[in-house]
Amino acid sequence: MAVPEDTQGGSGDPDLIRRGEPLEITNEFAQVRVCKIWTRNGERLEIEAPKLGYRIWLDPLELESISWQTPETFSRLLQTPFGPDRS
Amino acid sequence: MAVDVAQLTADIAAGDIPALIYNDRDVFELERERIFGSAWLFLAHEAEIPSAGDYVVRRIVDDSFIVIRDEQGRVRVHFNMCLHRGMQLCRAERGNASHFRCPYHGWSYSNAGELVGVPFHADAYGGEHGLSPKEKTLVTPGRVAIYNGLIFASLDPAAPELEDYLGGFRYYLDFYTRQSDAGLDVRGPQRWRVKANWKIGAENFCGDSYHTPHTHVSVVEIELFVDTKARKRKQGALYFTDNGGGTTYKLPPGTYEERAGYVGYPPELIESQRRTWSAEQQALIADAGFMPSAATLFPNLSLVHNWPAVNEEGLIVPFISIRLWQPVGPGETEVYSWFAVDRSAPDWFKQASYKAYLMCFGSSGMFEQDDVENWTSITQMARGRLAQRLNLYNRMGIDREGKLLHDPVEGWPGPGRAFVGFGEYNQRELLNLWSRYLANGSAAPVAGR
Amino acid sequence: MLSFTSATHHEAHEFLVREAELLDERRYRDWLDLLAPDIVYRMPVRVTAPETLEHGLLEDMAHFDEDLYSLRKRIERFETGHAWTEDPPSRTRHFVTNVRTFEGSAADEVVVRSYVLLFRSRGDIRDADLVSAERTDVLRRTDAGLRLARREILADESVLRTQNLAVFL
Repeated sequence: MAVPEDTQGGSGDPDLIRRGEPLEITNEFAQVRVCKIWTRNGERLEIEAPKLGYRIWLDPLELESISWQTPETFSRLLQTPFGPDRS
Repeated sequence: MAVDVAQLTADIAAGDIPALIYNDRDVFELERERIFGSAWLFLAHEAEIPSAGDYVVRRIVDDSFIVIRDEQGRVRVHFNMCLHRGMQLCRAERGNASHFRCPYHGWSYSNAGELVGVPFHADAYGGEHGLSPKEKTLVTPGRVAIYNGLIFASLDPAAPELEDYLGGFRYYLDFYTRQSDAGLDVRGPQRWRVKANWKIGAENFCGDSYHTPHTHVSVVEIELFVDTKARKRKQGALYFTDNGGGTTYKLPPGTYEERAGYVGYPPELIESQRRTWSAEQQALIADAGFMPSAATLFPNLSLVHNWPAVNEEGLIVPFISIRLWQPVGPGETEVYSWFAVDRSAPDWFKQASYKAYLMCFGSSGMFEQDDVENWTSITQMARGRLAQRLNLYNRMGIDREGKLLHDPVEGWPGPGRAFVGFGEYNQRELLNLWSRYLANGSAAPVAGR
Repeated sequence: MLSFTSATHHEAHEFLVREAELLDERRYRDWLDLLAPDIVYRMPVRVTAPETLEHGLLEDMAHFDEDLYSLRKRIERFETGHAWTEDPPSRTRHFVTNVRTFEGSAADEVVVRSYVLLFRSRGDIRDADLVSAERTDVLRRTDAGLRLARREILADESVLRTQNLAVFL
């Protein structure tokens, strides 16, 4: 799930029990911070793009579905290279 | 001032070298167009980009290229310029990326080179009406080909097959780059700038065994590499074939195993060499008794192989270096120097060989230090007005009529022609090639020998 | 970091200044005497890398990766009188600044970081070179005084603008 607007960027996510140690994955084009998070009843992977201001929480099923994608899927996602074209 | 190519060609064919070619702006521009615009140029080794997305950024003079392994595992070479308004796509020297996103406006390409993303495509371009991304791919050089993991490119789409360009030189290239089926481990490159013309290093590595005893006398005196002594050095053979040539050292008598062992190869590598090289290749060491040392493939790719003592105990270990004399200007060259070792070699050997390399060649190498001093001085002197009237003497091994003073080696086991002793056969061949390229701007057909 | 007023800081700084003097006076044998027998002297190759990646270094290739044997060989070579690249010799000036000292990992060791700017001039025609780097050293106390046990030189260029490393940093 996309983290709700009012909790983005803040450490005071009301539904969040705990955030694990972050891992950074970077190249010259993008920087991403990844960590495990625990909600009240379960766990997800948080992916944050700090330079663009986006954050998402992916559950295991969503993650599984990413694991079998081909490079073309990601090229499609990058049709809007900085995120949705918001006018 | 226009370059009188016909005069240059005639002078060089006669065994002279007009000194101005080592520091002349017009000659450089002609080289850039006619040599670097059409020959096969070395960019990188596959071992530098092993995983999907791995890339290095390399040049052919002023052309910048992204050399990358795509998501399917295929090596691609892209001109490093965004199709939109020309921004440099990759600004790091190396990295890993599935896509390139231009830092200017965000145009994004798959690492196979296809344009896949344009911000505000509908608003800015009216969608497909104004711009159809799938019709756009990054510019690629005319041709790309790989030999023994060495990635070459030519800016000429009509360049001959790489294998044909390499021709007989493949026989010698295999010594450095294919000692087993495992391929090479490649480290580096070290990069540094030298105020010397690119041709001087290329010629030196191609056939200058004559300089070794004097320029590198200090290396003998400290007992780092004693084979460089004059008495020994002139027993080596010089060979040239198709687009490349090199020098060798004479080996003491013995079997293949003893001779390869003399230069410090361990049993594992000796065994893999025996398995991998043809009988004809092994004959160079086992029968003719010569070990390849330095070599150059036209125009500016060189290799070197020596076997110094790496520790107090006098352990002899060979090393391999691959180097590129990247022209920056008529009086400046950027040296790219890689250390290479067979991937299947034992770890202790790889470490010792790396140490051997650092002591001898590269930015701090004790051989290379003195070479660079000479070449910088030549380049400086070549700026003089009198240099434009001076023809340097390139006739070692021929008489005043141009007739050979010695016969080529009979029964030379490899392609091309070889001579024992000091001589400038290879430098003449290389410069003849050079003048043909300046005249024709293409890989003129070379008669096989 | 140890205080600039501490005795250790002063000792370390003095060591570096004296060392620079030896190098600029080409007293290489005296310089060799300052090195511990297990000296590791490294100058890794820098590469341009994105801002957030550490250092931008090649892990397995360096400009210098020396032990006592190889450093001694380099100095022996200068002593042959046939190291043409340094005859006539370069005129060098090692500017050592921004010295900071830290506790070492062993009781007899001190970690010292410094900036070095090497000015190098050869002949009368060529422009002089500048090589800028940061050094991280481990100095070890011995009965004979401080000795250099380890030096890691981080050059500030990925493509060196000096014709060779026939000089020490």
